[in-house]
Amino acid sequence: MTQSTGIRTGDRRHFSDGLHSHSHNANTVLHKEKDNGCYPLRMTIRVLIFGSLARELSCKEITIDVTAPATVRDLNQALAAKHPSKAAFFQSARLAVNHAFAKPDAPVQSTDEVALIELVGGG
Amino acid sequence: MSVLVFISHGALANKHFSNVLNPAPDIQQVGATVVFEGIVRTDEAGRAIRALAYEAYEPMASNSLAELARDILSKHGLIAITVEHSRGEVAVGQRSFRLAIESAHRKEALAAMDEFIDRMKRDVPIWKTAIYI
Repeated sequence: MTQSTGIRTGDRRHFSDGLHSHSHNANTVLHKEKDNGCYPLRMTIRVLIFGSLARELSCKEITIDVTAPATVRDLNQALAAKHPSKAAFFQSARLAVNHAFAKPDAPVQSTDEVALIELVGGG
Repeated sequence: MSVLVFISHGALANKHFSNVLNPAPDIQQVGATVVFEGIVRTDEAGRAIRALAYEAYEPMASNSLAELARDILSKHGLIAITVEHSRGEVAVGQRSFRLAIESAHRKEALAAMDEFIDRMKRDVPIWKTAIYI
């Protein structure tokens, strides 16, 4: 899960297994340090939403904060964490990146256009 | 073989079947034309409406319709597909969707029609919202 909000100084620890990037421990989310001592970069992704979902949430996009590098799967998990009452829906919702459906392991950049394509109903 | 896709604002114009033909190079091979038109009903889930509002995520919507049409065309051995879809408001009684399929024989056109609409409703990023009276 990549929806962490940061590092608590008092909880800071060193991890020797590299890059990926955080773990959960009770109420604390820790980022693992990279080998060079740096912490992972965070990035903000806007996910466009449409139709009945947009009406239900009264917005046209959802902003999520994830650790870079991120995949589509990370976005699904961050969306689910942000809306726990709809977690099952967001976990499996199809996302399009730059106007094409993207697989769960596809990478996502902060400059990409991401849209949630569910509950469609043309015709 | 030919695919044409149009997404336009508001209701689709009425057409006579004689002018929905797609100008495919092999149009003289056509032995069957099947046309489906979606018309806005007076109610949604038992509640009266005055219109449906369609929202299309472009250019993905047009690209998805074209990709779907090419796939169906190839799979069923068709000659031409023309898709028209509305965006924005379409009043009760007006047309919001038209799919014209041309093939050598009726069977493949009828099978393709059903498959196209099922897949469109699942995969093409177009949403509709009822506008109630």
